[in-house]
Order: sequence, then C-alpha cells, then structure tokens
Amino acid sequence: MTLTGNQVSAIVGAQWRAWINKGPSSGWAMWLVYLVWYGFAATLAWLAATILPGIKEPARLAQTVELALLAGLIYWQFIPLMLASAGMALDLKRLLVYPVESSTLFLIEVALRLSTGMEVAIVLSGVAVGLWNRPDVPWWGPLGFIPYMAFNMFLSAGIRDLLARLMAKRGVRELVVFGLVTVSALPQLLLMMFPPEKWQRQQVFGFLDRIPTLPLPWTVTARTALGDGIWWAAPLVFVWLAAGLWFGYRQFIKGLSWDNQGTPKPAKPEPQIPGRAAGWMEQVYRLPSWLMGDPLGMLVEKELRFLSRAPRFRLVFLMGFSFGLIIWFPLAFREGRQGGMMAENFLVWVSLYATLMLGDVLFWNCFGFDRQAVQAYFVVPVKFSTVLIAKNLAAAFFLLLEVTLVALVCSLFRISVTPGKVVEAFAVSLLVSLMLLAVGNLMSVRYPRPSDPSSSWRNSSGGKTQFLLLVAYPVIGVPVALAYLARYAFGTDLSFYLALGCGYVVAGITYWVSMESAVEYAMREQESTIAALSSSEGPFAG
Amino acid sequence: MNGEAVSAIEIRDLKKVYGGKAAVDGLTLSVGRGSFFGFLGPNGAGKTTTIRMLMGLAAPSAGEIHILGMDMPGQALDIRARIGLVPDDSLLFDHLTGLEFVEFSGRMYKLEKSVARARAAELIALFELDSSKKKIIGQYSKGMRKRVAMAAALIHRPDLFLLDEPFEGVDAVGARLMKDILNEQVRRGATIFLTSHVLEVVERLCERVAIINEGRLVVDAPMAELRSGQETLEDIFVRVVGGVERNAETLDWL
Repeated sequence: MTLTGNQVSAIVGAQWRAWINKGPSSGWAMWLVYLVWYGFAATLAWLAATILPGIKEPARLAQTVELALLAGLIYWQFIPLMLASAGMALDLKRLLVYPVESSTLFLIEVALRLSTGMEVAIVLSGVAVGLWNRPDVPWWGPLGFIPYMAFNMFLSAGIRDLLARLMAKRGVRELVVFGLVTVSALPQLLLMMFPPEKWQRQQVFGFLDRIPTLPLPWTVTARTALGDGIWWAAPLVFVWLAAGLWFGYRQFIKGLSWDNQGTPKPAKPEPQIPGRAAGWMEQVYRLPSWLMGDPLGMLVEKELRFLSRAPRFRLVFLMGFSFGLIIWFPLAFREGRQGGMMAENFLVWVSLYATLMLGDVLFWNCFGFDRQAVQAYFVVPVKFSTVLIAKNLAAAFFLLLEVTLVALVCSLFRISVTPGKVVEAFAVSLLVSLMLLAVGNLMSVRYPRPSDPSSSWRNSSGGKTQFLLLVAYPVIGVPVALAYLARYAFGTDLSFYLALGCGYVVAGITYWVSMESAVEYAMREQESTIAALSSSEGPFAG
Repeated sequence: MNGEAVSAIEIRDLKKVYGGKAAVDGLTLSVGRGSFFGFLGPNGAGKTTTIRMLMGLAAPSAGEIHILGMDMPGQALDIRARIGLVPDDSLLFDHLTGLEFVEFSGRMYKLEKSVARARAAELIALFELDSSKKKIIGQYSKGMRKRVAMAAALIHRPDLFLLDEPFEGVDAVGARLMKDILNEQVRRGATIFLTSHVLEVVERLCERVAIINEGRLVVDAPMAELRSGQETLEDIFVRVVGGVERNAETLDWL
C-alpha cells in the first residue's frame, strides 16, 4: 500500500471505528430507515430497467434518458441544499494538522458526496440496465454514466465547499438563502403558468423537441449512452468532467484554511451610549424576565438570546416561512384550484410546514445546541423541569413569531387570510407544537446528540431518531386530523374547535406525562447525557 | 534557508488581521534548535493564532515563517510531518479509543500500519492509559485527553513540538511524566514551543521566554536573564501585560 493509500485507509478506518464505538444508538432503526429509502430508489431503478427496453421511438428514448439524467443532477445538487443538509464531509479542522496532500483529502471528500446521491446512483444503474437490454444501444454506451456521476460528485463537492464558506458569513448567508428560495420558486412558478391539467403528452414532447440540443452535461451523456453522436458527445462528457473537477478542486482548496472553518473572529464591541435605553431587541430579550420570575424568566431570556444568535437557528427560521410560502403557494393557488382545500387552509398549511421545519432546532434535540450549558443545568439549584419548560416557552415564542410572520406575509400579498383563519392557524400550530414538545422533551433527553449552532448545515441525526420521527409525526397529527374530520363531518367551525379543544386536553396530558418522564430520565442518566453531548464525531463531519 | 538552519522557528514581521483588527501584529521571533521555549501571553493575546500560522492552518496577512529551515506555507506538508502538535481539546476524535486515535495519528504521519500500531500500544502504556483501553476518548477526563494528545504528538518522533497548554488538567504524576519525556526530547535535539498559563512550570522548564500582548512581542529573553532580578516570571508577566487594579469601592460585597 502506498503511503497516501495508508493515510486514506487510516481516515476511513478511523471513521468506521468511530461509528462502531458510537454504539447501538444507530443500530437496527438506522438500517430500517435506509432499507425503506433505498428500497424506494431500487424500485425506481427496477421500473427504469423494465420500461426503457419497451420505448420504441428513438427520440422519446433520448428525451427520457436526458430527463432521468437531469433529474439526477437536480437531486444530487439541489435537494441537500433545500434541506440545509450537506451529507457527510471531511472534518478538515481536525485533519489539516496532519501532513496529508490536499489532493488526497479532495478525493475522499468527493467520494463522500455519494452520501448525498446514492439514490441517484441506484436509479442510474437501473437506467443503464434498461439500455443494455435494448439491441440498438451499444454495450459501452451506458458506461458514459460513470463520468457523469463523477462530474456530479465533483460539482456537489464544489457547491458544498462554496456554500459552506458563504454560509459562514453573516449577511451573505441570508442572501444565499434568499437566492435558494428564489431558485426553488422557479419550478413552482412554471407550474402556475403551465398547470399540469392542461398538459398533453404530445405537447410536452413537442415542447421538449423545440428546445435546442445544447451540449449540456445530461444531453451529451444521454447521447453517449445511446451511442448517438458519439464523436462529439463523448469528448464533451469528459470536458464536463474536467470542468467539474476544476470547479470542485478549486473550491475545496479555498476552504483549506482555518480562517474558513468558522474560526471565531474578534467581536466588534457593541456601542454603549450612556443613559440611553436598551434597543428594542434588548427589550424583547428582557421581556420574559419581566413577565416571569427567576429562574424561569432568566432561563427563557437566555434561550431567546442564544437561539437568535445561532446561525443554524436563524437559517432554519428564515427557511421555515419563506420556503413554506413559496413551495406551497403555486400548488394551492394554481389555475382552477382557488377553491380547493389547500387554498382554503393555506395559512394553516404553511404554518404547520414551518412548525415541522423548526422541529430539528427547537424540539427534537433541544440540548444539542447549547451542549456546553448542559452540565450547568445539572449543577445549578434549579429544577430540571424548569429548564425544560424554559426551553419549551422559548420554542413556543419562536413558533408563534414564525406563524405571525407567515400571516403577515399572506396579508401583504392578499392571500386568503381572514381573522378566523389566523386564529385557526395559531390554534392548530400551538396544538401540534404542544405534541411536538411532549415528544421532543423525551427524545432530547433520551437521544441527545451534539450539534453545532454556528454551523448552518444540519448535523445528521441518528437512525433511531429518524425512525422515531417517522413514527411520531403521524401520531402527533392525529388530534388535528380529527378536528378537521369533525368539521368535515358536521360542517361547522364549532365542531372543529370542540374537537381541537379535546386535542388540547390530550396534548396537555401527554405533555405533562412526558415532562415527568423526561425529568426522571434526565436526572437518572445525567452522566451519559453530558457524555453524549460532549463528544464529537470521527474524521467525517455530519 | 536549508534543513540545517540554526533556528527551529524563525518568524519575521508576522501579522494576522481579522476584520480590521490585528490578532498578531508584527511578531519577530527566533527559537533555537534543541531549546525549550516558552510562549506566553494573556487570554486573546494571539498565542493560538500564532500556533495556527506556524502549523499552516491560518494564512498570515503579512510576514515570513521559516520552520526547521523550511518555508511556511510553501513547504507546509514537509513541516507538518516533522511537528508534534498538542492542540486544544477540539482536535481529538471522541468516538475513538485512545489506542485507536494514537494509531490513527501515526498512520497520518505516514508510518507503516504495523509500526504505528506497535508504537501506539507502547505510548498508551507509557502514559498509563492502557487500563482504560476500551474507553472512548469522549469518556476521558481532561488530563487523560491531554495525555492521549501528547502520545499522538510523539508517535512520529518529531523534531519540533508545538504544545498548547499541555499540562492543563493533568495530575501531578502525569505532569511529571510529560515533563520528563519533553526534557528527553530536548536532549535528543528536538525543540519545544510551549504555551502555558502556569508560569511556575514555564519558569522551571524553559530556557527562553517570549511574552506577547495584544499581538505584539513585549518580552523575549533567556530565562536566566529574567531570573537575575528580584522579580518572578509572574511579576514580570503582570507588569508587562498590565494587571487589573481592583477598585475598592466596587465589588464591596465580594
């Protein structure tokens, strides 16, 4: 083994040991989640392998393969960004101290991009098998998918590194999110302009036919895969590959400095003007202490200050209402659907979406962010239930703020917002959040995991956590679903609010029981909680 | 400069600016080979930033760094291969056991797998961490973490040690062991660049001391020269960085 190979195997081996040592928390549940998710990708691959040999028209086949490749690129490059998640990456801060060639680190980083697009690789394998089953496709054609996948991995690594650097800068981060929101809105706007109900198969393919065949990565790869225009398409596949490599490597090299690793810079001192009252933000922070006595007031105040200064929280808060509005608006209000259920309940819908978005930073792992403070919670003379209630009150505050912002934006754009709908949105969101807090408190103490508040990217949650969330979300939605069912069955708002009231009673009892249980567990397992929150990962960062 | 340069570390007019504020401001320093050098300063003086620049982890805004006769950052990889770093806590992998981490470090320094494994086992035994073989570093005490970091820094037999608070949280027995090992390293010709807030330790170990304050060098002298007066190192330190005078009228409740 070469020395560089030894380093690579040391990094991969250390990460593997770290996963093994992490213990059973990421055991069977993780594999179950993976099985379901990758099983879905495998089904798509099987469909592609089955359908492609049956397509008769060569032009249709080319368009289908192009669309599959384009969809793969979009999934690989944009879906992680939309989820503010970047998959696995090297923890460069820990590895840069060693004498490792940057090209070696880059290769591992690129290989790790598979973690964000394994589904694409599986589906493309199905497409390749489908093409191999056609007699008119040369055997070497689908091999063109290999450089295409490598191109995607280079591009993905480059985009991740570029965004990681941009997201580390306050102000720029918000602009980037705004840009992502705008880009994500484009397909929705297109859907509004060209509603799918009016699509006709021939028209769609006719439209695609009119698009000039530009030498884009997916078009040249599709041509190569089909053995069509091989003399110009195949070299272009490698040109794109080289361009992807250049972009990815360049961005990676730019990130190879602790200056770009979120190293704290000297803070600018805030101007203090003697005699002048504190600013309005300061007044908001101090409000809990004014309304509630200490220690609860002080704890809530600390949470408000801490969360509003955490880049990760700010990003998710911003995405919560902006993405919600933009993604759901065209679906709810596209032509012919103004009177639809989604349009009628748009505000409630977006508020719920925002509530669920905030789950990762407010409910499920409420000690993950301020893990350094956890030890203090166990030593200060304050009941642990008070700490949890303070965290829950701060979460409720931000949730109400989020719903208020959604309502304000809806009013501004004159989207069907009546006072009744605003009340309904608050009532439903609060009920859901009460249930989320009940489950979240338990999960926060039972499955605590360290999280970096200064990182804009999401840390990947454990398999068991993901599995429990899959189970928890439908259960949490039951009281709200029953309330809407009551309105549908009896046709009155009274029935809706009565059912919702019952939901509040159930949620209140659930919250109380889970609080007791969470406090009891936290006190019993405080040592393991502190240990779990003070640990960091291996050479790979989540 | 060549590999046989007299200085282990040669810094000229080094500057690092963050957001318009200089964390390190015109630092010029020379650390002789085979010496035990103390690098002191109050919190936020620029010590860690300097170490980061010496490791090539942060790019200087201006100035030159030569380490073991090589140019940083031009020959960063060659330099890193000859440095043993005991960093602050954040560079350890908490989900690895001590043995796994030390072996990992050895292999990252390009030792053969079998050599890294054998040396790691010896070092873990030397630092008395073998009784906690199955424990992951996340479960270590602060002192154990420092000991495992020191073991990882030694595994490739470096020529220069950059030690950031190596004795922090280490018990008296562990600290004695670490000091003995470091003195042995100096005797074999290695250079130690030590930062510590425990001035008694610095006074006892170091042959030469530099003190920086607000990014600027305020003292650079042999320990013997500093000791020749009436003042202790602590007195000198407080005098040059400016001690805090307590106002008797405030904090009267204390």
